[in-house]
Amino acid sequence: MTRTTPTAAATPVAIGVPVAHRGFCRRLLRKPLAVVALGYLIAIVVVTVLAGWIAPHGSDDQDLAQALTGPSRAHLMGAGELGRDVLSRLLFGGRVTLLGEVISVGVFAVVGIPAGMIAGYRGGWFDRVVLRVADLVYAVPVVIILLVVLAVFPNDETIAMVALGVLGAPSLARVVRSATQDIRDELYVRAAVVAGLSDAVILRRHVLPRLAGPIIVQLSLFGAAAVGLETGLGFLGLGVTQATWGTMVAEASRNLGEQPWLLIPSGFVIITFVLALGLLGDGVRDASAERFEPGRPARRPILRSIAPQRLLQVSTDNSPGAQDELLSVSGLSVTFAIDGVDTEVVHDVSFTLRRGQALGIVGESGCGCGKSVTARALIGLLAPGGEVTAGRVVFDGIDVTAADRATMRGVRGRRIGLISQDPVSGLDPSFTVGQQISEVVRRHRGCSQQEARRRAVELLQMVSLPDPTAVSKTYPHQLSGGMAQRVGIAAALAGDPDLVVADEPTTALDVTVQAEILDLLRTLQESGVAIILVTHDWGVLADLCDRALVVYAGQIVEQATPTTLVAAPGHPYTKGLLRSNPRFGVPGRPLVSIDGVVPAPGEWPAGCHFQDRCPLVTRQCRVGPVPLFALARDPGAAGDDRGEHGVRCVLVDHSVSGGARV
Amino acid sequence: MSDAEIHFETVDLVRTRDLVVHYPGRRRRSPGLDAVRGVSIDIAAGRTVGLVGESGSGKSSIGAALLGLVPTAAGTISFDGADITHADRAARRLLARRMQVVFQDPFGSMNPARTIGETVTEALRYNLGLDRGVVADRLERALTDVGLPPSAAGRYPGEFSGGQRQRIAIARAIAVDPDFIVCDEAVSALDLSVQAQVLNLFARLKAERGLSYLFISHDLSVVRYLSDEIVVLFGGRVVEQGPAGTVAGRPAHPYTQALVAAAPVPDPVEQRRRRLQRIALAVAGAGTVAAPQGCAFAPRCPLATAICREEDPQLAEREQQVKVACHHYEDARGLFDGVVSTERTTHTERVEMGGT
Repeated sequence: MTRTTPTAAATPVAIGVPVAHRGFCRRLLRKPLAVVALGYLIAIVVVTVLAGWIAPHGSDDQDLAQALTGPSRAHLMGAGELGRDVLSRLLFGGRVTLLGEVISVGVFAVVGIPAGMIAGYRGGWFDRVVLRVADLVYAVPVVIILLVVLAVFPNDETIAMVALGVLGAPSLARVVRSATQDIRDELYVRAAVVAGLSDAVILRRHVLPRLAGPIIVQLSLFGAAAVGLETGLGFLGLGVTQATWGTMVAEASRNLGEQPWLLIPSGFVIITFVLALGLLGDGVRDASAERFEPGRPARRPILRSIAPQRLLQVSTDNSPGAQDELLSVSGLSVTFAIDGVDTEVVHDVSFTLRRGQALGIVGESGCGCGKSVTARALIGLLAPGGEVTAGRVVFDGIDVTAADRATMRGVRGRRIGLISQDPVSGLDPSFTVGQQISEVVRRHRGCSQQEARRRAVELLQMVSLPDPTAVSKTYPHQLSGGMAQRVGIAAALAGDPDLVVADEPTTALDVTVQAEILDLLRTLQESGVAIILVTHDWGVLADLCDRALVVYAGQIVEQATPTTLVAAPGHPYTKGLLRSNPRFGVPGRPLVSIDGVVPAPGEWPAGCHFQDRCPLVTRQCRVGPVPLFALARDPGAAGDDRGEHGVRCVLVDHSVSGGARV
Repeated sequence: MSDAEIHFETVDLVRTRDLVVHYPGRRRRSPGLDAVRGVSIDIAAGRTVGLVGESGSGKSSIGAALLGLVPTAAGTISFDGADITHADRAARRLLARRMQVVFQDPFGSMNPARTIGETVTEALRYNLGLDRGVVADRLERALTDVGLPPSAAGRYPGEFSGGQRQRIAIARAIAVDPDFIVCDEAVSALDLSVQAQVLNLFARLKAERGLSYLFISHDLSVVRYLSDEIVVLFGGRVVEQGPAGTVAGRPAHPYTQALVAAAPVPDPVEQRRRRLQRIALAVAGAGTVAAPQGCAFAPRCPLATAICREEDPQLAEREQQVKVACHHYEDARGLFDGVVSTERTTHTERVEMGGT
């Protein structure tokens, strides 16, 4: 029963089962490219640091006989002007280049990150100053400033690299600032503010770790740019006079005609160094992002958060005639890959639905995605990783589970409409409501654009929107919650469906608006459209449905009319849920509650799934699967609404039913 | 503790007077929005005040203003006799030891990269600056108090269900041993059976620790269960306030009545009857534009007359302890009779009969 939270592992994880939290390093080491890049960078750093010991020659040792020669035994990578050994110069030159790199990236980070964080977190005048400075720096070519700096401090590469870091910092500050602004609004940052933590502590503990990704990307990009600039300065002869990668490129270009080989070693080192920086940055970014994934269930919709239920089991609905039957689900089981293991999330669910009938599926879940999984199973659109492993879904003679894509396209959206909890997220924010609905109409009817527009307005009128023409010209974000849900219903009706699957359609709405949406759905039902309503709210169920399925941990535990469920609930779970409603609470006395939590798929106990939370559990409950027992004819069912009262509990009164299995 | 109790009896712990919360418009010219328009609430020590209203009624803004998360545009807020309307960071730091919060979203309210132990003890370490040993003791006590094993401390939020996380959020709130907790839709995201567990936890902590709550929720039945007094908000103003049983059981303001009438009940027979009566009364739903002056509920009110559209009704004590802001208070009484008098007893009996 989620309310407005679209997140979440409904099916809670038992405390005893820790999720594997791999360390940052282990996550990084699972990325081959990043590992190679890291290894390469480490190797470069090590050999340049050790240049004094491993270089075959000194940086400026001359061997005039070998000047401007290609690779040879004496000079493995050839020799440059004055016969200086290229390999040795690369190693010694790397020291200078890398030191410059470290200085500039260091200054870049030290200036940019705090400035961006403070600007984003505190806002105000500091924020405006940072933004203006950033604009200014963007407008001034970096090279010009560097030339000025080098004119004042000739050939002082340290100063030049510090200047480069300072000049780059505003762009980092900008990125950090906008990322910080997003994080600042996170609830846990607000909680930290309420806890009385100082800004410094909040920034360090809650903001900085989340910024790691964008910062690392910026650092690696800037590092690459710094190598390029350092090379450029060397090439222009403005950097230091000793060997660097840059001066080596300059030397090679001077002698390009005579010995083109010279460009290859220095060019190769520079290119691969920059490439490795980029790859490592990507890997580190990905690895640091993964760290947060366990806390963001929305990003792993198929993991343990799938509502295990939402599909139904056995119907004892003795439908009067086959042609009256719209949807028949028999023995449906769905599995999902949860942490790589195929896990059953819906088990052996059967039911039938007649035209114009409203069936409610009620139960706990706490997870929005599980509900859409169910709806998707019905319309043949399971999310990746999901699979129907058993059973059949037959909609008006079409076997949905076996139908090809073309057939399903004709059914989905057209014959079966879907209404979700959050209709706005299903609409494209850049098109008006009218455009989007008429597009659906056109797809289903193949009519002219004009006619589709007219139909769209008609549909908006059907859902009792006060000024349909005006609404059709608005954009989704301009709608209030209740209006958006009406638009969502209008879109679902665009194909004149026979069945509407409404997945928690009123959960995000205020009760007064909820009442209106339910009225609208009832009008729809009275016009002959069948409705499957997924809800956690017994009141909503009572308001709309003629039949109800109570689901728990992937199974139907009880089915009856809502009247019977309230008057004579058969399953201990149904009773527990009804009694834990705060409506019936007496202030000052504890509410009746069901201990424990719904077991996650894959952790269902053998036998009755409810056994671990049931106050009446017996040894018999743990023996084996419990069938759905039929009680006598549902006393709450009237007239056409026939159907039996089924309860999946070994304790049901067998004298009523004779223990007959459904 | 006995001194404190005497003290608590006499002074309201939290008091707002004519509180206004204003959100500036995004553009320079846009006038912005007054989310709260002059609200006065008293919360006595050890008592719970429930704040109900629909989205946009300003209920969460009141909580945020008390906590200093949004600035107060006008009016005053006092805590334990001291004016905290514009408390600075240093004062807020001290207040944080007595005033805590539990948010609605159990997933967003915890840093996913910090362990439960770190989350719960953050204020103890960085605000109160306690020793490690003391922190560890308080952590264990807080976790045990909310029904979690101490071993949970080393785990990450991602490993817990919504209900468990809400317990962790409560543990974080009670770890500093506060006097007052703002519960902002604290059980709204939970499954019904878990919701009952957490409500029981709130009730137990209140009894054991003498806590006061401001319990903000859109669900009147939740608020009624936990609160001593209920304040009903509409359009940023208080439309009705009084003892919880009276406001929820015999609502006086047309909006409160509509709120009660619109909440569907689990019994289909009863629900059908309520629905027919509700439809007959034709209270318009949200979405209707509120007039710039007059009663904010007027566009949706079946009793609205000319005066309602011109003059904002003042909150006045209409019967014992119940204050209502309505020009047509006399006519409004009993507007929804039959719908509003829930068949609480008969229904409960039915459930009991079928019960375990």
